Amino acid sequence: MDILEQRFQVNLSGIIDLLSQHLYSGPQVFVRELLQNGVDAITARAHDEPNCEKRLTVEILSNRLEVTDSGIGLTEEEIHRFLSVIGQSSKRDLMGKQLDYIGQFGIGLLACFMVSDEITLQTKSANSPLQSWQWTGKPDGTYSVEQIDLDMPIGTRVILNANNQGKQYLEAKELLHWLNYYGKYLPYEINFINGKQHQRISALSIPWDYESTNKSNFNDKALTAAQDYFNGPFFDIIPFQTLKGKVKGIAYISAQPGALNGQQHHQIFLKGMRLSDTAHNILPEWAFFVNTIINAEDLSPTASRESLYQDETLAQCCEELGEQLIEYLIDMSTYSEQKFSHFVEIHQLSLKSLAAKNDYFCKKITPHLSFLTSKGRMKLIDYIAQNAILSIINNIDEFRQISQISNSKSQCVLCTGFAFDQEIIYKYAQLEGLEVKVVDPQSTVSQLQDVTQQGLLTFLKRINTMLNSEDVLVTLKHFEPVEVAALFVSSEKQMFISTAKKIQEQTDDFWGGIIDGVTDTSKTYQSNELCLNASNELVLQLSQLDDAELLKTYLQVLYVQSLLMGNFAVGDKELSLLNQGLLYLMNTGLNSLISNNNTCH
Amino acid sequence: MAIKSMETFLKEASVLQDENPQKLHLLEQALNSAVTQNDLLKQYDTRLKIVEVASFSGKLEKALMHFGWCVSQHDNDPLIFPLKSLLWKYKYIMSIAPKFHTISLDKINTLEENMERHYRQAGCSIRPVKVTLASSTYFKGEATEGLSLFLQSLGYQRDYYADCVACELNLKVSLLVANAKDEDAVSQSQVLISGVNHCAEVPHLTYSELLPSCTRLGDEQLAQKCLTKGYQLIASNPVYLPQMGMQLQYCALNGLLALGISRFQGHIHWWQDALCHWSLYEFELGAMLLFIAAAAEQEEVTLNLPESFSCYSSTGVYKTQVLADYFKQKLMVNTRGFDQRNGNDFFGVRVAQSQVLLSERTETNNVSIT
Repeated sequence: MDILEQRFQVNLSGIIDLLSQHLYSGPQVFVRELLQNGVDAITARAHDEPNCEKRLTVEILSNRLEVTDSGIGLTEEEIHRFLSVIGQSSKRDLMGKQLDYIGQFGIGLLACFMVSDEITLQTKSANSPLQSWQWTGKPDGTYSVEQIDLDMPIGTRVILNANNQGKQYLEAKELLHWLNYYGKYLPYEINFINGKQHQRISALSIPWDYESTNKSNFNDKALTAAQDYFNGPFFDIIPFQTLKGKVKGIAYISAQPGALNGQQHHQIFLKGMRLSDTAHNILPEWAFFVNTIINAEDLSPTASRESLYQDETLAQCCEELGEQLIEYLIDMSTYSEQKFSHFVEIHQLSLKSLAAKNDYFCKKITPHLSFLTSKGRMKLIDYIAQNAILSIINNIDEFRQISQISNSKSQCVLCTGFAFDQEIIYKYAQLEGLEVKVVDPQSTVSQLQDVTQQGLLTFLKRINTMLNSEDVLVTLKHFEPVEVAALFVSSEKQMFISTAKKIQEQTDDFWGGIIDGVTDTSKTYQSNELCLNASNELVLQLSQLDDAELLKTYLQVLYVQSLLMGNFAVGDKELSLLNQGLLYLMNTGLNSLISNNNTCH
Repeated sequence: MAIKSMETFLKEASVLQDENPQKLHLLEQALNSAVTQNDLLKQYDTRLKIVEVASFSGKLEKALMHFGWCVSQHDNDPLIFPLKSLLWKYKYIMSIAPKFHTISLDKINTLEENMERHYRQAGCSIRPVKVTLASSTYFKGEATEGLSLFLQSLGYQRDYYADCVACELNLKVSLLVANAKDEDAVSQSQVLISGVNHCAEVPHLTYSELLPSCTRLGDEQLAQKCLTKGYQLIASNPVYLPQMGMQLQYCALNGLLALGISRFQGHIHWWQDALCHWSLYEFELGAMLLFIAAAAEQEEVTLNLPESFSCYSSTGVYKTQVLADYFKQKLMVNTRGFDQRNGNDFFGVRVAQSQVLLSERTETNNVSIT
């Protein structure tokens, strides 16, 4: 059987519909495509003729738009070759010349059919300056080419007459918006004319051209550029560039905490042409605290030119940018400690949430994060330098109990009771092969030195039933610092029972009974512990006190004070104990003073 | 030491998932500050948050306790502590209370009456009351009555306070399983395990709760799904201790001892921390069956168990029969607790039936621990 080889038929109006409905975000992209073609034509001409005029003019005449460039123009043969074959780009054919063209797909001009039912292109080629040509194309796929007798300079003029959909886009205000949006930082002069209104579109200063500016001017320039895109305030503004993708830009570090997993905002330009403000794949996902203005010379757009093509170059560029941000953070933590603390304070929860999820970020940043330790706040890197094992307490209550004494022991403990701390420490330890040891107050206190002197043992015997009503076991041990007279120690289950008892006092019998039901299972757990410091002067003096009532009052005050020191919940009962105790002690002290005075008189 | 303010604790807690234990700790810290400041409104708000988080992180006793405080405040001053803020959480509490056998039937019944009174008072549909009643009836040892009550509850109007469709259907499935209506249970569970209806706890619960039906039907394919996908869904939250127990029970009854023992090792710390009797019961039943089955195969087993475990061995070598006896003893305390409270033998019968099934299966199964 013979096999007939046939060609696909292309339905141009179908393609236009495809572009407008599915590929592009809206008809406004025709502005971008016209600017792009004009800029590329000027670039092509400037390659052979560096001193040529480099200008692009956009003019509105009623519902008609004219875009004129001083670019290289097209010969008749080029018109047939490039304008009449979909997907054929003059720029792709010239890629071998290594010119900086923006376009490459050969579908750009079709975008104009979204706003106009006819495209007219008048052109005079620098390679054939004696002839001018006019190409007229229609959405049904028909076109005509004719030589025209028009006195025009070298370059190209595109003429569009607005169709119904195009009218709003050819209104001055709308057009101006999109010209600024796409073309503000294009490399050639672009002007907009609407009757008497003449306005320069292209900015005089490009934000990413900062080589020759000093730090102060850089900040001014960067802040001016940011006004169009981001809301400040900014914590810092830093320049950056990459080898891969040839990216140059400015990173604006946010001075306000964002929502967790908040979106980054990047204004991305490709060779000066605005690409997108919704492309997030240029920076690592953890760089939530950075907004950027970026220009890339060597990254590829997708066919819609509204996002970046996810290729190896983009991945390497993203990695390079990530490295630079990490380096910035590490430098800051090393050389500007206060500034880094401020940064962490602003972005703390987001930073930690990322460190808990992302191995790379965790490994790089965690050593520079500060954690609450029994010796105050400390960077993990400093903690590791002094401690071979990461001793952690996962509960803030328990940390408070231990931190008062572990400071004086060789052991320094890390509090990992705050959001994400535990996950970060475990992840970091796993990544770096470090050992983690969970510390608990009971075993730490049980290791303290017991008293052995007979006098103190007798004292302990006297006092160990005095706080029975508080369900507290009193112990007596030597520990440092000697200034701490008493330490309240409790486990989670003990705390649960104490809390349950307090709640029972504030509820009716019915709920009291239900709470009894759920605490019943915990009856076997030991009581909370009030550990008195046998090395403390006050405790030693108390051991000499004969007056049992006075001793009990002192103990009650010490008990409530130890609760306050550990930020345990102090309810009415405890506050009442404290008040009564203090009043009693003051009365006793005053009576004693008055009695002494009277004796002296 | 003033570490952070109450607001900071609340903010830190707000970014964590409910099942993250740190969240509960942070809320408790915030509550401590509110208590010390004697600020009742802040206490009320924080305790309601604790009820929610504790219910979803396995600290059921804490949910009950703080809810009790909130209800008491409401009773004292309903204008400042409004009823509406309690209604949703009533459902958690009603499903938690019967799981503690130390809470008497009288108290549970009064709680049910209170819940209904409060729902009627607020002008809401009592459908959630009836649904939770069906659930609590099961824990009272009346599985058949529980299913019947559930079907009756469907006649009440759904409103804002109704449980989601997935939760209600999951309860139906578990009641069908409890009534050995296995084919019906599997059939009804399809929309849950296929993900058509799902929520924060469904199909997490569904997979494990279907396992008894898988055993009875011999549906290994479904069981495989329950043991893999189902396990992944429950593996990181201690609130699923009973479901983990059900996984152990299935493994023991179906000769998957190595898998069962690995899950036992991995989650015994949940059991150690738990206070809820039903959670303990399910895990202890699973552990007992597992080690009885293991004892039939070999005298000793090497395990990596925490030092705080009562039978801890520093060598890691454990006598299988000793572990079986240990968990049987623990299980019997909870079994008696439920049956005495309920005045029936439902929980005891479940244990006895499981043991019979195990002995029948041990004779026919080729089991392997390694």
